[in-house]
Amino acid sequence: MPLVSINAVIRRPSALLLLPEETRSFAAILKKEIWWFSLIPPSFLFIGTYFFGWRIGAEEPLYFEWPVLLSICIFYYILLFGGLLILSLLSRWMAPTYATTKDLGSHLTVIVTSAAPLFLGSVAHLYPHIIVNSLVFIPMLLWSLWVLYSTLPELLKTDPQRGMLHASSLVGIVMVAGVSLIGMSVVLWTLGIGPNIGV
Amino acid sequence: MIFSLIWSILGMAAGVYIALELVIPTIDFGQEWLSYGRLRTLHTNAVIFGFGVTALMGTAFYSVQRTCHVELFSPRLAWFCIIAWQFTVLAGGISLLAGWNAGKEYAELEWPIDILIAVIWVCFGVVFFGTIAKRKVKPIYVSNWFYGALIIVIAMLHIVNSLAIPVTISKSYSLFAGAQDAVVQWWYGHNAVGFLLTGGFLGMLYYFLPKQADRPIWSYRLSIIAFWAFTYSYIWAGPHHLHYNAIPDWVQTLGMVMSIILLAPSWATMVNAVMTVSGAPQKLKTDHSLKFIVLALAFYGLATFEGPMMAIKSVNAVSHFTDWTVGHVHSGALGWNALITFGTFYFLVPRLFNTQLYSKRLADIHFWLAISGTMLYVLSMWGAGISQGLLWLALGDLGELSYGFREIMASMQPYYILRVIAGLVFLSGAVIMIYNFFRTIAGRKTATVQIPAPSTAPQQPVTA
Repeated sequence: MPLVSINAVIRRPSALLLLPEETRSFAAILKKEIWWFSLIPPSFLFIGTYFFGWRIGAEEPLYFEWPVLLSICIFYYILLFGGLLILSLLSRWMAPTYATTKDLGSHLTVIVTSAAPLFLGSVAHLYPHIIVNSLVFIPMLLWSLWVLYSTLPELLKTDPQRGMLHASSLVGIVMVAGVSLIGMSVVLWTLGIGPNIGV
Repeated sequence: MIFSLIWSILGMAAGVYIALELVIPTIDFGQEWLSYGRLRTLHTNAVIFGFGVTALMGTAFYSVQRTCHVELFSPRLAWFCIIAWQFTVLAGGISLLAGWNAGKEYAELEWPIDILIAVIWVCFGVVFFGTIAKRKVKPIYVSNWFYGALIIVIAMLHIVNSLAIPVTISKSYSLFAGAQDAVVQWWYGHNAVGFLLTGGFLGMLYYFLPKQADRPIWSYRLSIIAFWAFTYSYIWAGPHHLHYNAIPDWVQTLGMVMSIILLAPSWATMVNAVMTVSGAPQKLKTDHSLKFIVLALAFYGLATFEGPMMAIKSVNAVSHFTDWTVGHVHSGALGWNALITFGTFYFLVPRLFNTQLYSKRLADIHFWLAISGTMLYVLSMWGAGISQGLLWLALGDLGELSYGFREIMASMQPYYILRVIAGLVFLSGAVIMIYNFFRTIAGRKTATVQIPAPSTAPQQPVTA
């Protein structure tokens, strides 16, 4: 599925529709595809950080002991894996509102396809420099948005107008989820879990 | 509308310029009026009072006539409000460039300008409520409740917060002192955000969204409940700007709790609007303006969630004084205020001139530039804010601060460059929109319309 998703992203979304129904089922995608698809960004991050450190603007790059780095990458993996699943469930939850299909596999397909450019862009993690990653991820993010808006109506079997509304709702959810994650992280830091900060 | 568009370009251009100053500080060329401190206040005043308030005045006068089925109470006074407001904002902008500054955020203008604002605002209220008073239908439509709250609360906030003792024509000192001054200032500051940038624009939403979707609001009852819940809870939230400052702890906690409660009415409105538009998806096919409003709702949801979250004290301990706040403000200002205003203008321009939009393709391009610019801005400021918060607070093994100010500022450069790019992207979209409007209305005269007569059906809240 991820490879087909990438193909669909680059060429045409209907490529996904040509797949046999059983391969697009929620269970099939979950068991056979997402677990390794979600491994790509954390793997690149582990390699890049281990050799080059995080170059986020401070004068010296930030290096981590490998157990710490591994735990960061495991959380990153859980976040991506869980994020794809939760987003697809939320998308399915919104289906009656926007008259889209109720097939959970189709919703997961949309989410994975839309995430594919960002997952591809994670190759930039091999050199975790803020500028390099920004230069790669900005166009990838726009590409991802374009894929979401352009593929969703066809994959979820709805008209372009309802598809646009559904896609915008997903963008809203992703943004809220993003800022929630930041907020939860900050609360953990102030509780003493994470970096040593003077709060 | 034309004035609002002019201010939007000037204000956003000033914003891009000061963003660039944070990357290349020498571009103030040693001129005081080009310095960051003066241009930053010009930027905020131009976009809030020039772009935002002018748009709110214009749309309030437009919609109140249609929802009340009568002409404005005093068209001449309405024209006075609009024209005098432009001169006031212009004078305010010049005074800020000259270095006149009262030292209060979003209330920087000095006392002569403050008096002008108060006079014009009262006139605005006279025209608006005078029109409401002579309405031909009994119910007051919900958009007018929001516009009305905007007028009353902003008048109260502005007059109380601007109470000062003038020393010279360009300098005054606040009537309040110390912590009291801070509390009054952020009672003003946060409720200016609440009743102007949120409530006022919700008035715009509640009139123009049903018009564009061509169907009534999904739940009128919910809109009224949300209005009163919003009005009651917002007014208490100001102290969250003063967490960990020299004001009583219970006041800070009260501000935090009321901010969190505020999420309920904010999202009730969002749900109401989303359900309204989701019932008329076919309109998206023909109406480009609706796209902007749909996107504005997504960012409204983000900003009204992010705000209460940042008001939580343990989050605020890291986020306060960082660029995360700047990102939050812009997710609201660009994503919500600007986009809903652009959507409204895309609706109004063809109708006011009885024609078609010059180019739907340009409107599409603008849509994508707007979403790209806003997202890039928000993401870059999230990155900058979290980095700042962590670096400022990072401690070494002996408990000493790990990073110095210079080092932290240097580390901000990548984020600030991204912000400049984001600002340019958003600004270029606005320029394209203005070109599109210019071509749409070139050589045309404004259409003359009759105020619609009230329906003979049993009276119920209608969108006119």
